[in-house]
Amino acid sequence: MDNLDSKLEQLETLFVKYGASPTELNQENIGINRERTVYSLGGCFFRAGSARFDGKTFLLISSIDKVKYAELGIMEDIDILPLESGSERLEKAVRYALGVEPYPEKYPEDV
Amino acid sequence: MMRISFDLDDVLFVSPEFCETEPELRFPYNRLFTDRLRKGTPQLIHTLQEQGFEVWVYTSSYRTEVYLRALFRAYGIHFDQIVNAQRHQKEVQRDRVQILPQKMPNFYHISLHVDDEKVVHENGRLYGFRTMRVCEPDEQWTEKVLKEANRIRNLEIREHG
Repeated sequence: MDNLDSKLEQLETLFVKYGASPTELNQENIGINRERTVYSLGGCFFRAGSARFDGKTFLLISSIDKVKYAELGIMEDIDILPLESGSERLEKAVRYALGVEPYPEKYPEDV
Repeated sequence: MMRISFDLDDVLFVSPEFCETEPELRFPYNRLFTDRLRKGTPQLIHTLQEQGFEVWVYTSSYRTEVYLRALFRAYGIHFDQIVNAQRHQKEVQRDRVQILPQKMPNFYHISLHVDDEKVVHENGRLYGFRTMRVCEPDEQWTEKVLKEANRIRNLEIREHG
């Protein structure tokens, strides 16, 4: 398993840790273009993903609040993290994204 | 608490080719959030909130609330409420036979709505809600909005006690 897959799995483990459940939505696209499982929590849907900008790979947390879009795999990217982000950073990002903890006044700190 | 709302496209979201903007977000956030903010927006929103106004977004765009909150968060802005086209459809238009205007700030008890479109201002006169037009580049736009917001608040205090 390469580093990217490992990090994406880490994000998904954190989704579950904080109460999200894997869904069967958008199953036909899972695995295509690295598209991954959609998770749901409290009427919102979340997905771990990645993107490349300027030759660098980043982790994405995507979200949407309408099941009709989640069914089609249409989600909004709401956070972006360096691939080399450590466990603590990933966990904070997931806690904020899932609403477990409110976003701090300044987030992300390095914008 | 008085409510003031802002449209997005051509009001808070502007093209840097047309209007001075806030500095771009740092990479890679600028790739995620490509909409650029009119210069002065973060300070204006903060000042309004510090002055006790509830500040909303009221847009006819279908951008999701999730996306908009993430974008504005990156600029250090937190709106009290966001009404997008979907929310307007669900809460305002609903299953009415009569097609209402795309924006009805009075439905949400918004005292002042800032928009660029002439039709919104015309609807304000027709349907009884207060509007302020911001569209062109204007270095004094934030002062004008603050002045108008406070003027209307004082008016409402006199009207309602």
